[in-house]
Parts: sequence; C-alpha cells; structure tokens
Amino acid sequence: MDVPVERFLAWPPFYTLQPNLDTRSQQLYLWTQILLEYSQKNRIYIATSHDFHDIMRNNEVSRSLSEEFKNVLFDYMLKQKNAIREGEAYMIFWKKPEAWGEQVYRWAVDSGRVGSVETVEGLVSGDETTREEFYGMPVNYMMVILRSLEKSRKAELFQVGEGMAVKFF
Amino acid sequence: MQARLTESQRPVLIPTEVVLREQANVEVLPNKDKAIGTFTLYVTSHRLIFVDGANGFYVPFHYYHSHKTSGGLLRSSRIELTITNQGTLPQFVVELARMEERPPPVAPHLPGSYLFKFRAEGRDATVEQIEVALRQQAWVKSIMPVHKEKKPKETSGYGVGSIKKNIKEDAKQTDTTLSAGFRDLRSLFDNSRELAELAGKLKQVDESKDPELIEIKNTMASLGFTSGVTKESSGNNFHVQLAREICDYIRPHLEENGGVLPMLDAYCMYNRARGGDLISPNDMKRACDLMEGLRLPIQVKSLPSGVIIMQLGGESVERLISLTVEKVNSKEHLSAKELGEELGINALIAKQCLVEAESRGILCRDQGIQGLHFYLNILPKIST
Repeated sequence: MDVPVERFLAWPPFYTLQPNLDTRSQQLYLWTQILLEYSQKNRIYIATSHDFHDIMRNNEVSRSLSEEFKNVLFDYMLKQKNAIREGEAYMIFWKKPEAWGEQVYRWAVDSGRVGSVETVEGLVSGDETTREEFYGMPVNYMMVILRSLEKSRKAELFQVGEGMAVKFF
Repeated sequence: MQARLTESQRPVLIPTEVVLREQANVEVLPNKDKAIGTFTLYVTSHRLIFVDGANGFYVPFHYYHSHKTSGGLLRSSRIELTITNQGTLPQFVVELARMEERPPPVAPHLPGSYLFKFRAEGRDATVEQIEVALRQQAWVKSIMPVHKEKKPKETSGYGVGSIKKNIKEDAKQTDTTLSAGFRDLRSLFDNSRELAELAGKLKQVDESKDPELIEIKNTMASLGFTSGVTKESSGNNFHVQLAREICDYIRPHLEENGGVLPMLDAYCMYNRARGGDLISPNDMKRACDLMEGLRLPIQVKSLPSGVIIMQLGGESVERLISLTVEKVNSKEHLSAKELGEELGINALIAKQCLVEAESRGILCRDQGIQGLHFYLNILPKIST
C-alpha cells in the first residue's frame, strides 16, 4: 500500500490512539510505514523513541504522540517483525532480516566469497562492502541478518577470537 | 360507560380525580351472569375503571347502591356491587361535557348489579379503597375550577367590642379549618384538590403566549403528578403500570430530544415528576424491561458502550447516528457538545452517537487540548 502519508501527519486524530481496534490497526500500520521510511532515509538502525521525536510531533496542529501511544506503536512493530528489542532500544527493520540476508548472500555469491570465511566486522565496515546498502550497519544488527541466513542454511556463524565470523555456503 | 385511555393504555383521569388502587386480573360479570372479560381495575376517587388492553369502561360511584364481599376458601374472592340512580348522570360527566363545550351524553343503561371475581390477591385491599372513596364522596363535588369568593366581613357594630368580635370570629374560622385539615389524614387528598385544580388550570395555558405562565406550568409539571403509580395502589401489577406511566411521561421529553434519552436522565426526570415517593433504579429497570412486551412506543436499548438509552420507535438511534455522520462530515470535526447543539439533542446521547459511529469505524477521535473531537475516519483500509 502506497499512501501519501504527509496528509495524515497534518490530521489531528492521527496523534490520538484510536479506541476502535480496527481503526487503531489502520492507524498503527500507517505510523509504522512512516517510521520505517524515516529510519531508512536517516539510516536509523537502532533507535529509542527519542530518535523519532521530530516525526512524532507536529507543531502546526499542536499534536504529538503520547508515551502510551509510542509504547503501543513499538509493540505493534515488534509483532509485525518490523522491530526487534535490543535492550532498552529497538532494532528497526525497514527491510525484513530475510530480505537483507538475500542481499548479503547475493554479494557473497557475486564477489566469489562462498566457501570463505569473513568477519562480521569486515562485512559492515570493511573495504569490500562500501558500495553495498548494508555497509555501515551495526554489528549486532548484521548478526540478526546472518542468523536468518544460518536458519536457511546459507551461512554459518562462529566465534573467531573476540569477534564473530561467517562462512557462506 | 366508555373510558378514555392514554396511548399506553392507562385511564385518562378527570380533573381532581385520584387513583386509589390498581388491581390486575379482575373478572367482570354484569348481572352476575356471563363474564365479559378480565380487566385491570382502577379504584379512583370518582369511579371504578376497568381496562383491558385498548378497551376501557367505568362505573361511577354515582350509581353505587351497596356492595358485599363473598367467596373464600373454595371459591375465588368476589365483590358484588348493586346499582342505583339509573337514568341520571354523574355530576362530573355533565361538568366535563360543559367544560369541553359539548352536550351532555345520554344517561347510560347499566346492569342492575356487577360481580367482580378476583383472580389474584387484593380483594380486601380493593374493598378498603372503595370504602375510602365512598367516605370521601369526592364525586358529589364539582370538578369545575373554584373561584373563591371572599366573605364580606360583617360590620355590625363599632369600637373595640366589634374588633374583638371580629378577631374571635377569625380565630374560630381558622380553628375549624385546622381541625378539619387534621381530622383524618385520608382527607388530605381531598384537600389537595385545589392544588390539583391549579395544576389543571395551568395545563390549559398551553396556547398562552405568556412566557411566565408557561414557565410556571413547566415547573408544576416537573414537580409532580396528582396520581403517580405506587406499589400500594397497584400491587402485583406495579411494574406493568409503572412502565405505562413512564411511557406516557417520557414520550414528550423524548420527542423534544431527538427521540433518544439516556435511561438515567429519564429516571431522574420521572422521579422528579413524582415528587416524593420515588421509585428505585431497579423498579425503573424492571418496568422498562416490560415495555417491549407491552408493545409500548418506547424501546430500551443497551449501547455497546454500556449506556442504556430509551428511544422512540425502532430506528431513532440509527437515524441519529446517520445524522451524526452527516454533521461531522459537513463540519469537518465536532465535539459531543457541538453535535448536541447542532441536532438539538442531549449531549450525552450525542456522545453516544459519536462513540457508536466510532465503534463502527466511521468516525475517529482527536483528544486535543480543546477536548474530544470526532472526525470522519479517512484512514485507508489495510489490504492484507
């Protein structure tokens, strides 16, 4: 569903948690799309609600999301697997870990890395991946992606010294 | 004689008439012959009224000759009533005709006697109230509004002697009035006649343009009935009669409020109208639950929010809800108070309409600093 969301950001009821559950899930769905888009644009991988402060408030209509609303919204995102809890913060997945996984695996195949061992650190900050979309993401965020690849038996994770390494199949 | 009934099938009382008892399940056998049906009997200060659904007739005490009770262990308890004064008309019938500016009716031909069989308990209490009415003899008094004439003071004599005599006369007069007033509490209702007359008179100022009179009239109307349904007067039939009376009373209020009122408001209004002798919420609820079965024009409905409302006819709430959506659509957003003003309805009902439309996903809310406002729900449906 592609809806121009700007319209809703200027619409006062959008900032009130709707008691009707159907209406509420419409509302939470739209808010999730907005946060994901915002995260992608600003490269926000791990966030607390503070990171969304600007988008969760509209001074023109004097509305902002309540703490309760924010909690409900993050719970919704957890349930929809658009977010994963990371301590007090959330990893935000505007792309599902599986989709990221395919992208990483394609890179491995295209660059002839299948069968060799790479450090996770190197994947996100090494010289080989600077052109990739996943370049620059936090290590623990990449770990979630690699674990999903491990689950589909395309990779294996293991400890090397202090850090983790991965072998693609 | 044919009795006039209200829409909810209660007798229309004549001025100054007071209901003393309501008794359900009374079988009536004219001339002790064949039963003509089973009725609810109203013993009033002026007559016995028999009501069965939309049919009603009455026997004025004017024709009363004598009564005796019979029955007992093996037979149903009964009252036998013998009739006299055939060929004449009760005073109130003549006066009522005069007040309504129509010729008096022809004197009815009544059976020589009636036998009343009581299918339920309550004969003795009924007899007791009949005897009260017989003692009071309210029917021999005029129902026409009284115009008090002041007795011209006697001025026979001069000086201190005359003044002393006048004071003595006044004191004597007051004394008689007081002792008459306190002689018997049962005569209290008789003495309340003037008040009832005042209420009746005020009722007639409907066409009057005088805002003050209308105000007084409304106040009086909200102050009390001359004859509210009580447990004592109606016994087992109490809730049925209560349902009918509430219906008669609340209906005009519903019409003024777009057809819908919260039951709590209706309860307060009705109890205020009763003055003293209040009914409990439980009685109200039980009476209202009976309304549908009695085919009364008012329905009781629980909204999903838990608020119980009373509505006229079947579709009042639905109609209000679609009006609500229309209004919100044209005004962009509305609070309950604004909607109430727009539609001329009670603010709580307006809130309920908004919440109901919200629960159907048509509206949604905005809790801002200016309070709770409702908007059309423009959020797109999620396609999954």
